[in-house]
Amino acid sequence: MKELSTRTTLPVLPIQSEVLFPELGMPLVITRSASMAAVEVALSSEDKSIAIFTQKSADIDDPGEKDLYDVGTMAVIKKMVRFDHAFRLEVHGVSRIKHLGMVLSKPYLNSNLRYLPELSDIGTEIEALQREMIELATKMFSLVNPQIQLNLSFILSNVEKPVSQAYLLATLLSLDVEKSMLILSANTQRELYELMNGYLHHEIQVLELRHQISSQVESKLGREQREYLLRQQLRIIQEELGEERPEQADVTELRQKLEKAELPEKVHKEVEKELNRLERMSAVSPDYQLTRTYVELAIELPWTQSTEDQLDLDHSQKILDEDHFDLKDVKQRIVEHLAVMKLNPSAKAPILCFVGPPGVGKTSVGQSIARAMGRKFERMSLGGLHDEAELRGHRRTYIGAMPGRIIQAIRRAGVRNPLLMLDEIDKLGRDFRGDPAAALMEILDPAQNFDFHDNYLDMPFDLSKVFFITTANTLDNIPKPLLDRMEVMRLAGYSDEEKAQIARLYLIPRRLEEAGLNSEKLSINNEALSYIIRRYTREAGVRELERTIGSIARKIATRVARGDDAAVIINPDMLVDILGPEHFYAEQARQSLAAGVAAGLAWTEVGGDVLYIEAALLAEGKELTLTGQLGDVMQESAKAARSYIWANAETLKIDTAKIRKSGVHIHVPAGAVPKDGPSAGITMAAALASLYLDRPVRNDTAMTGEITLSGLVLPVGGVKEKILAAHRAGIRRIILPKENKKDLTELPEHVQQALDFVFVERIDEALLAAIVSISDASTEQKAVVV
Amino acid sequence: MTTQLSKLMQSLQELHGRSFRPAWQPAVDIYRGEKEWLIKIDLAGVRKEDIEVIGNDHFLTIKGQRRDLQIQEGHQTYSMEISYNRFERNLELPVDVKDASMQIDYQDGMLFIRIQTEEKP
Repeated sequence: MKELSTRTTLPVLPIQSEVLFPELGMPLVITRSASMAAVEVALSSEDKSIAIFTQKSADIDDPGEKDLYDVGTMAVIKKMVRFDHAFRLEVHGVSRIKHLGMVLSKPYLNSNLRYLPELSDIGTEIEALQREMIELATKMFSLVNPQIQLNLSFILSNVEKPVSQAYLLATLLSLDVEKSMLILSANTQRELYELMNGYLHHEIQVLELRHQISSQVESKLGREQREYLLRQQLRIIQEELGEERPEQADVTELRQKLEKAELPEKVHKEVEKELNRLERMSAVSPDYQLTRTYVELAIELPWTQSTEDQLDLDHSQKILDEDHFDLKDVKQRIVEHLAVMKLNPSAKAPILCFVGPPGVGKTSVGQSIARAMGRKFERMSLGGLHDEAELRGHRRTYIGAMPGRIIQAIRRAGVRNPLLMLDEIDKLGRDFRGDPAAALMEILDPAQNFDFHDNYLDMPFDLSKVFFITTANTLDNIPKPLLDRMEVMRLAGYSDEEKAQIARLYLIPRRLEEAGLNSEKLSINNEALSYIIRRYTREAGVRELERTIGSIARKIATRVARGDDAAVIINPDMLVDILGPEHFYAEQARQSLAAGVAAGLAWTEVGGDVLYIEAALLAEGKELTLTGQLGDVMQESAKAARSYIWANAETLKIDTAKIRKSGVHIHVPAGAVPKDGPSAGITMAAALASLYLDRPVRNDTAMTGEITLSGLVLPVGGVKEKILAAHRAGIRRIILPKENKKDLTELPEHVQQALDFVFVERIDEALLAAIVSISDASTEQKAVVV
Repeated sequence: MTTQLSKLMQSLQELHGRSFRPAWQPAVDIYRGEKEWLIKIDLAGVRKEDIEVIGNDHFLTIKGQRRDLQIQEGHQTYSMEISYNRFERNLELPVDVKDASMQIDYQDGMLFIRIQTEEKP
């Protein structure tokens, strides 16, 4: 058999970016004229052989010998189709070749070549390398796509020779030209496999990294997409079942509510608009909840609903009397208002401010008023409120926006004319977020509050029918413009007798009921009650008293529950057993006063108090020392008192040398409590006069009043509390500025009876009334005794 | 002398280790008769003298080459689908072909190989 010529000169077909390996096929499209000429020559040979070399750079159009790698592949053209300006070929690699030199035979190249031997080195190591290659390739393809794995073993089984398998893998890996050329140029199997294993390793690492990254991205995307898909499916299922979407059901329900609610036309329109928006929204959108809450609020607000006022004056009066003892002013004011309402139904509601110490019943009187008038009662505490938005609401654009407390209270009340109690208005805070007091001014002004504008609601709401009552412990902290809008009603503290009455009428029955007892099982006699009031409580109101009574009731209830059913009447002797030792020693009038000590009267937020002002002479000292946490006003008042005494030493028969040569120290106990105000001026003057004269002040006398340097006595505040405190302490005689005489009408009858009042206009009158020897010695009794 | 010798050695080596992988594989039909195997191989256009049949154990190798002998001056290939150049086909048979009597015919471009077996395989 004659061998086919193993020709050593073949036409050259340069290819770009690809490498043809032996035993593998490759489709090619030839367009370059030189290449087409080379192919024509190959096709007209009897063996259709051609030399295929890869270009070193893909960019070169007309490559010469130097532009080609020197190792290539002898190939046979298996199929060919001619087009106008191109050939499509299928070539099949047959053998590795190396060109020894090229001849340009216009227009193509001819190569003088040498056939490279087959890779024939063998050994166990080579076999191990080859198996490693197959394993790596399997792993790699499983990373690309698990399905290819099956195909790979099939593909590889078609290629018998391991070397050819390596070439096949190199093609499948689509390595770049340089790496492919290294593979093709490998002259031993060992070299070939080592190269391949290196490339496979690298490829696996890259793939693993890619997997890691893409799986991270996928898991992120996955959740949201899943949710979206599920929702879409849910929607389709619901449509299929003929069910409404939940949001649609929501809107329908709201629309029904809207039709039922009697809203003003403007509001109706606005709500309708919001509802239409809501209808188009998806329930997942964050705006949905926001709009829904808003619509609900707008529908639920009592735009037109109101309660009918209870205008039977006698009935109202009865209710007020039932609920509270005394408080005549307040009750009277309410009844007056009801009378006005009866005659003029469109009258504006007054805005009241109840001022008084804790526990005097400010809040509960509010509840009682609501009951008497037949109005809904809502209360909110303003204590510590420091953000204007709390009152007026946040704009709807904010996340978590809510209507203000006022609108919320109205909504809770369900009517537009409730009695709205704003507690602790004197404890409003303020900071950089705004001043709630300023917002309150709009709310509490009947001329403005008919179109109160809540930021959240964004529609005016009429507050003019709301009966506002505010409460405060003191007026000092209320801004003046705000105070100006309110009608202030003082609820002063109660006297011991009033407390006893309150206890009898309200506290004891209530506490007995709470403890499950009745008046047959437990009663408290009068002495015990007043003992409790004096020795176990010290307050202007009755809270502590009520707690103490509650504590007695519980102790007795324990006894009854244990089986001791005997009726108990509490008398003072039993109190130590039940309540423990006395909590307070009553601010008893001191039995004897040394010279330089005078009883003053003080007003505190929890009622009045008696305080003894003590003065001591410091021989050879000079200064005036003041102690006892005195405020500026009180210190100045002390200086004025001293200067007055000094200036009038002669009239008062005081030795000026004594004043000049010695210092004086004034102390006001209790030293831990800060004190201020001018009302102790008269007391300090009395203490100093007594000191310099070395004659004591009368021990049954207390005094209060502001003084001037010229000797006038000016009126002071809190007289009722002060007198009640003096009365409690056992003082019999009180020196007051003449202008405070009118305040005595506030006092209970029995207190007025029990005390002597001395009204003074000038300090010397007060001193005469206060200091024993002067008043005794004086034939001219200037002071007026009532 | 040395150069000549080494050149000779090199060319010998090249001849021996030359890797001419086949460019194509012919189609094969295999039949089993009472006492023979009949193998038909499609080798149209292959000259008889360019065919080689080798038996070895259970393997039968048919190889050779198809040459394009009708290349006419002035003709241009318009399209080509027939594979030329070397072919090779390895067949594995359930009979030991080395000792079996074999009859080879070549007729109308088909190669027929008959392998006689002692009994029905």
